[in-house]
Amino acid sequence: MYWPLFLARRFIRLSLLLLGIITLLFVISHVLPTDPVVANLGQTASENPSIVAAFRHKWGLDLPLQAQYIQYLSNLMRGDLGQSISSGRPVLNDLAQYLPATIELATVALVLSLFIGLPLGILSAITKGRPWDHVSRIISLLGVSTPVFWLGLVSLYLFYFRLNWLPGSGRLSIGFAAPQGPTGLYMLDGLLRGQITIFWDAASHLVLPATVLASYITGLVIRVTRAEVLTVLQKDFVRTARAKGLAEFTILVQHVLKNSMTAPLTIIGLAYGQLLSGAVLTEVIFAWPGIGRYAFQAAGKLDFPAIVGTALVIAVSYSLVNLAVDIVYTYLDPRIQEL
Amino acid sequence: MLSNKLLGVNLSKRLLYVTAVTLTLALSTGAISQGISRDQTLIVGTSFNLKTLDPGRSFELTAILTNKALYETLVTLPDNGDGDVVPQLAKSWEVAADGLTYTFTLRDGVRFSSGNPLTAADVAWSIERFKGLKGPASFLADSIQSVEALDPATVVLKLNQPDPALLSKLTVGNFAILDSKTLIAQGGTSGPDADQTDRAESFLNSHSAGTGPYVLVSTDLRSEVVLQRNPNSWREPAPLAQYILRNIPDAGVQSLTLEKGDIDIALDITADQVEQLKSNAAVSVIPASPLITIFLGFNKDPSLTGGTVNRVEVEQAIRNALDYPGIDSLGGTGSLTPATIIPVGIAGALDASFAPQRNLDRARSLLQQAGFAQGFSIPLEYPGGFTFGGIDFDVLAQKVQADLAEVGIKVQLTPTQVDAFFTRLRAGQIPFFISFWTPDFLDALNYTAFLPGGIYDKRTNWSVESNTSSYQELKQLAEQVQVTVDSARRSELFRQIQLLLRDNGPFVSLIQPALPVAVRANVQGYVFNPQWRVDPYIVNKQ
Repeated sequence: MYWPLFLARRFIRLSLLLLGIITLLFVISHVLPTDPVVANLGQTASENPSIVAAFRHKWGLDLPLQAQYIQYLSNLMRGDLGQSISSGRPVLNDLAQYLPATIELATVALVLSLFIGLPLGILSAITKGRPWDHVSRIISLLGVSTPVFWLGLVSLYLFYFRLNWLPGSGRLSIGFAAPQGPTGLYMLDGLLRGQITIFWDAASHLVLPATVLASYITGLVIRVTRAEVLTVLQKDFVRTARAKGLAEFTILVQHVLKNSMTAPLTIIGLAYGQLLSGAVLTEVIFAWPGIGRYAFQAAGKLDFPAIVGTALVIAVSYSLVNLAVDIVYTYLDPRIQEL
Repeated sequence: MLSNKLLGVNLSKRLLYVTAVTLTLALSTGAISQGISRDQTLIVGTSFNLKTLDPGRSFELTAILTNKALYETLVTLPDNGDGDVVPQLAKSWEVAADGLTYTFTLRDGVRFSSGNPLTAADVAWSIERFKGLKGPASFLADSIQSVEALDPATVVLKLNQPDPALLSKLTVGNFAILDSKTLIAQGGTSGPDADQTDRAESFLNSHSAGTGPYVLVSTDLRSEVVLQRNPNSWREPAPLAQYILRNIPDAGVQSLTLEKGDIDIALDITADQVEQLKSNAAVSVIPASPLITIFLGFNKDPSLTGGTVNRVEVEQAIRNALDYPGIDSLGGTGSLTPATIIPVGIAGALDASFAPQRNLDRARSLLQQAGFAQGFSIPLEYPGGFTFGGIDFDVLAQKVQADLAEVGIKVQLTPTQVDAFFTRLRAGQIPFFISFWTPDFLDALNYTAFLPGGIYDKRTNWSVESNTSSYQELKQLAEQVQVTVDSARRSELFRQIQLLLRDNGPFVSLIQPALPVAVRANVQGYVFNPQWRVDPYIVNKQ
């Protein structure tokens, strides 16, 4: 594979995708039967001509549609995502504040689901039809089918309220000042700034929401891993390896696992993108100030700059994660390079 | 077999490790930092709706709640919100006989948290800035023509028309008196073009510039706002050194956090959590009414309704067909049916004994008179998937549907996204709807929105009936009450208005929900105020 060409192709595809997203969202948000004036001003203010005129002027809603579109694109070229109508702040500032909260949560959730899901999936496959297999499959079924909001409330009730093992909602305990950067990931910032108390507090606040968020992905990873390992275990090369007298552990690690990781990897790539954008319920229950709730609230208020800004960030994240997945594919299966 | 060999791994070691990590994490939680003890800190849990803390630009509940501790107004309300306005930064005031000039004398010796003295120039600057910002609450200043500082202690407000509710409006936090010297240095401007030129909002989101009992220490608009006692307050120091507002969006989690003792006051508990909380001796549940009215509305344009609910007989039939006690039960203890759109608790409101009663025979007879003996079908539009004041609008709409089915009116439920609903309502396009109203200020004059000429006249195309006697009478009363300053005369006018509105017009009040507030038993002195909900200055802890 010629990497510069591969990356250039990806970049062009991503740029076209982003332009498509902006255009689509622009059209959708302007054909919806909702007036941003009503969504953002109260009942009385939305009937007051001078307040409405000031609002429309401030947010550029008094310009013709095509002028709004062109102005948005030209601002975007300069790296300006505009101001959020609902927060009144630059969208870039909002994203810089809320995206790290989601990245921290989603990353820990993904790591948890890998650490739990992959071993259980493998265990389930190699003990097919025996107690460990049943246990793994039940865990997988529970993970996939338990509603996140219910699991969130029950886990808070049990581990926070009853057992007092873990803290309640929020990213930090009440009264703890957030570390002043540099990454916005509180655990990392706590470490970088030598604030170990902040590190532990942030870590303890992550345990419940990350576990809850990981539950669904873990269930999926167990299922997919189990199915793939079972398939590979039936392959001729595994039989050949056994016939050669290789140790079972060596067969599993060197032959089976490497050949059965493509499907779980695909799931993980998709799941990470989903975790970044779809953690709204977890964010509500655990009062987690992440990008999912930000996008949800922006959509409710027809806050076009915030909606597009969030969509762009999520699209870029998806593309980057999938690019990483594609690169790992080529390592796991060199034949892909030829495609 | 492969499986047997792998199962030889000692799983218990991993389990031990996980347990150790969990315990270590658990030990590190639950502390409160900043050097102020938990006993000296009041923590309020609420679902944040916070865009800005700039008093001139905000109108969201969380901003009003926060700013109550940071800022003060010329006049204010009694702690429970019931009764006449009382002095705050103004020690006295005079109203000219024509009702067009208000002269306020400022309290002596008041300083802002910066140490700057309060002067009449600060008052004029703050009110003119609020008006000029043209923010979501600036309509409250519409009647103010000018604000003039006569001398350092005297301010004169001149009105463009008599405004009997002016004093009530001045109690709203948007009329907070700001430290003009500090804000001008931070890019603040005042006057008619403030919406274009003022740059003080970001400063006000991270600092306060008021005379209130607390100052702003830190703000995270989506997580937490921390306030500490203002050392320069003109009043006795606030009983508690620190006041924290914590965002807890989910009502169930808010309730758990209160029971656990991590917050002292929970503002958004729902009716079904009240019973659980009442069984906890460490928590008290305080009845409260946020003065919300949820009502049914009829469009008077027959081309929209197909000649059904626009008819006066049908409107009366629906009034008689609704099961009001059943509707009240959706709101939990303390909910009631107000006689009209004006909720019980607003001075001059009719009490609940005047509320309409169910009379199915009369409802059927009225429908027969209207030529609908066999009933009719009508879509009922309402904000779907929406809960307000603890009332789930989907459930409420189903109850209305069931009640009206008993007299043969077949209601098709049409839930609409809340903002799309109000967009259509504002355009007067909805034939039959459920809507709600929260007062912008605590005076019955706020409800002229529901009288001829008001915004809900337009939304219901009520003027189609402008030749009816009730419309004409209400129109005259509305015109009179908006300029009548004499309080006895005002009360009489409002009484007449409500008696007419109870039986006429395109609105039927369904419910005034109660929304109790839960507080820890060691919290002393808490009183619910429908305008700001919590005043930390009157709260202490045992």
